[in-house]
Amino acid sequence: MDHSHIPRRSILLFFAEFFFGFVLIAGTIFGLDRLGIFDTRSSDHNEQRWLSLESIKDSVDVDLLILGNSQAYTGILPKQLSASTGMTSFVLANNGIIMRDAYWNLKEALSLCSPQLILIETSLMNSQETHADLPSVLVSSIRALRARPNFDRNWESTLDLFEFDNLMYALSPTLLNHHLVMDNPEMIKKNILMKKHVVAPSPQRLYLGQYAKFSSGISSQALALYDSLGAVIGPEQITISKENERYAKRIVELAKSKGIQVAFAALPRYKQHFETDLDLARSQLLEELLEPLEVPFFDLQQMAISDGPEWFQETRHYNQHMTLRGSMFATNILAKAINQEFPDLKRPGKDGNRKWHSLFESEEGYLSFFSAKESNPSVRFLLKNVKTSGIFVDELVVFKDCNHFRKKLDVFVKIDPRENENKGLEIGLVQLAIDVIDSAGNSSTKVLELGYDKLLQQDDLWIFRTVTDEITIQGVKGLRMKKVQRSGRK
Amino acid sequence: MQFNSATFAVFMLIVLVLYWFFLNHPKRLNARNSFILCVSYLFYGWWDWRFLSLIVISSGVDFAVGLKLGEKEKDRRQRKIWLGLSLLTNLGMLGAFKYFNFFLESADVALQLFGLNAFDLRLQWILPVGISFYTFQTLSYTIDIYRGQLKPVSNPISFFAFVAFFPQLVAGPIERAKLLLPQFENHHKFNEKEVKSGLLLVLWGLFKKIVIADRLALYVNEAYMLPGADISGPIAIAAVVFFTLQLYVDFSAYSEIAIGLARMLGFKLSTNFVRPLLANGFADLWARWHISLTTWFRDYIMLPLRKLPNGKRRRALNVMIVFFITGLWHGASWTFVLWGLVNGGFLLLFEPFVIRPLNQLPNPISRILRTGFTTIFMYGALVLFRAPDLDAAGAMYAGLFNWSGSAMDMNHHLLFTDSEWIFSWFLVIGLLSFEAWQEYRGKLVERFYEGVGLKRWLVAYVLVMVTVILGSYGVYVLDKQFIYFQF
Repeated sequence: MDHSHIPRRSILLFFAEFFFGFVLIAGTIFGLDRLGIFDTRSSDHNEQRWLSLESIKDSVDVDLLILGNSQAYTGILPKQLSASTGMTSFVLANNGIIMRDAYWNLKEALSLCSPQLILIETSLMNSQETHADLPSVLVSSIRALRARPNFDRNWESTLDLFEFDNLMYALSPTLLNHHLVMDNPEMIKKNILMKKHVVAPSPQRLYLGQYAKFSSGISSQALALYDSLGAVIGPEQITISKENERYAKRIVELAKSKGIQVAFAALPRYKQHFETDLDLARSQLLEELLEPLEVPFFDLQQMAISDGPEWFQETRHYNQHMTLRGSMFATNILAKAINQEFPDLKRPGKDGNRKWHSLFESEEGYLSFFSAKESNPSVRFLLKNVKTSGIFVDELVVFKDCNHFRKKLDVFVKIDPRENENKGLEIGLVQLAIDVIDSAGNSSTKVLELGYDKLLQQDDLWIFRTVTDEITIQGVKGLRMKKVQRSGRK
Repeated sequence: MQFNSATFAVFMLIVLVLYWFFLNHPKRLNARNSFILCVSYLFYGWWDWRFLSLIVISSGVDFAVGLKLGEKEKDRRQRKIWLGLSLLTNLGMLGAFKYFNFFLESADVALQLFGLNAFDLRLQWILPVGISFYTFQTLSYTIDIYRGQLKPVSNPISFFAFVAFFPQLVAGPIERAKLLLPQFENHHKFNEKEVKSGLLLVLWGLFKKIVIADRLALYVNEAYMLPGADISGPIAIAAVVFFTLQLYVDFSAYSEIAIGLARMLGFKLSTNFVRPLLANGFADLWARWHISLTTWFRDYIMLPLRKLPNGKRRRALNVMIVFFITGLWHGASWTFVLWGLVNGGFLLLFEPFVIRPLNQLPNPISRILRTGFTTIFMYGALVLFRAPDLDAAGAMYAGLFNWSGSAMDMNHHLLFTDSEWIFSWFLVIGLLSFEAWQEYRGKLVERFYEGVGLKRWLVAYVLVMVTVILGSYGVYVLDKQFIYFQF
């Protein structure tokens, strides 16, 4: 080729100058990213899970890894699930993500833990597709990507998750969140002053990915709206995209290739949230799709817990979550299903593994499934194996959840209905009279009423519990079972 | 592929490197033009490769017609037939893809008399991007040859590359064959100053599109979605002003990017806008706004009409015909037709009876009044351009006069935060001031390219960083397309 007419030197100089300009701009954006001026991570909890998983990788064996989105981190209580299955459970979920993100979450997680079982919450399997350009899907994918700890070297997932035009938003918080200048200048001011955008969970606090926040259920006014406005979820919302189907298969293949068992679980939404029989149609659709994968499917939507309004967030948004109370119930059902379906898995909790027990004995949910240890500083025994007022009490313990910020006490009474002394006893309300000292040092008697924990539904142990303000208990004056009138509503 | 996308940035960089390092050689013009043709087809096919066939058909027919017209210089009848074929092909494609459903629906009442339903006869076709632009461009070639103003080209690659030239393929400027086609037959020497000025023009266009037009679009889109009763005076005024600025900035930005990209490849494209918001009359407005289209209509529709028997009424009718077609060219909808006719009316009525008499006043006052008058009516007419239908346009006009208490209770910021609201008005005032500065200190741009390069570096850096920080782009902005793509 004759190149004599091409002024290569000046062309080269132009491109060199162009390249220098590009580096200057990219460098400025990179600098802004490093300064965190457009960082929104301080207001999201996705990175906390990864930081926790990373920090416990050498000390805790995660046996059960739960993949999901906000449904999972509000609907499954990992500590309670750990206690009830005896397997350390970790909820690895990001808000708004779908199956493709969960797949990359799993790939990354397997470098930090070696679970025996992976549970996939099926709201990951919706109609959305990663490359459909929906801002919500895209932003969730970006958040999930940026939360993953080895983001810097995770090009494989980046290229799979984002179209070329969206890649820059995944790579740079400045490009993604520059709109804060107009929408939320206060946050930029805060970011400028902020030294660290993500604070890792305290090492003293065992964080297993839970993020339950809904305390009150659907109100009677909202129930009336279901009657007048109708359901929220129509036929279009129950469909499952091909992409989600494909990535469900990839997750199962990946897990099985590592010798890990897999199960799917559908957390429920309020029955009236669905148009007539659509909840059933969705369940059938999931069953059909999951059948070829040969994995168990726990369909909590159809397990008779979807009609309790108190168990669901009050919203007419498609994505309805469970309340804390609902999630306790759902977690318990899930645990039973896991115990039944996977009897052969190793359960350090059930096998009396001391390390496991020392990890969980001060955590929520533990006392519902295990006897308290007297050495546990979070627990105080008031009664143990004592007959009082005609009832044989296995345990009466006061538990202070050291890892919770709330200043409350959990009071548990455990009664074994199989004990001879308890034959003929009917479940009611336990009334407990205790001597307490108030903050001014005055003694008095206080009566607590402990309700039967019907969420647990254990045949061999009745658990009655209540939560009270922090008080100093001197001793027990008496305990009796009070009959309760059954209300009409189940 | 959109100019304001990362994909295009990479595409253009690769094109530039290959073009300047390997292909732009006097002995390899065919290779260079083939390269331009290939990348142009790639650029267009990125949207929908199927519609490339329309460009190929249009180019093929007009290339063949050009050759035939060249051969039959003396045979008038044959020449008319060949020109007719070109017109039929290009206008036929335009009619089928752009206007068929519109005419069908407009004739719905008549069709119902024959027991037909317009909806059943609709064609389920989507509008190919840029069809109104490239068909007009290629038509100018055959018409100019027919008129004897241009010699046909013998090299099909040059011609096909001229029709598909990617910088201006989808939204103009609509180039004349006699200006652009010869550039495909010449070698372009690498001129660093030209390439850099092209790059700066591209950055300026992107700044206008992303920072100004797309920001204003957020408000305009919200305002036009409001129910009529909720449109108060302040909302309507803001929507009308913002849309005028949005439309002008969006389209002029596209033209500037196109001109800049072509300049980076050594080509010169026509100027499409000369500060139309400062026009001092309606004739002046159309001499400044979308110049490549208005001159096309002048040369290929108005001039032939003028050859018909003349008279005052006839001249007025000619103006209205041209503006009717101008409206229709923009979109297959009665709102566009009405917009065109209203502008024709302005030209016929206001120009002689308002604008010219104002010329008698001393100059600063005369200029301000003429520009103010033109501006108000131009802004007002553009409601028809933006509104999805006549009802929506009516609601917006009614809103301009709705200053009742209940309407005023509406938050006239709509979804805008205070910062966005203030910033948008700052952009409007800033842009108009900048244009006024350019208008009265005309050598601003020329001076900008003189002297040391540091100021150009600084401007480029600031433009990009302001676009990055204050631009309306990103995952939350769904509609990033240039407005004129729909035409």
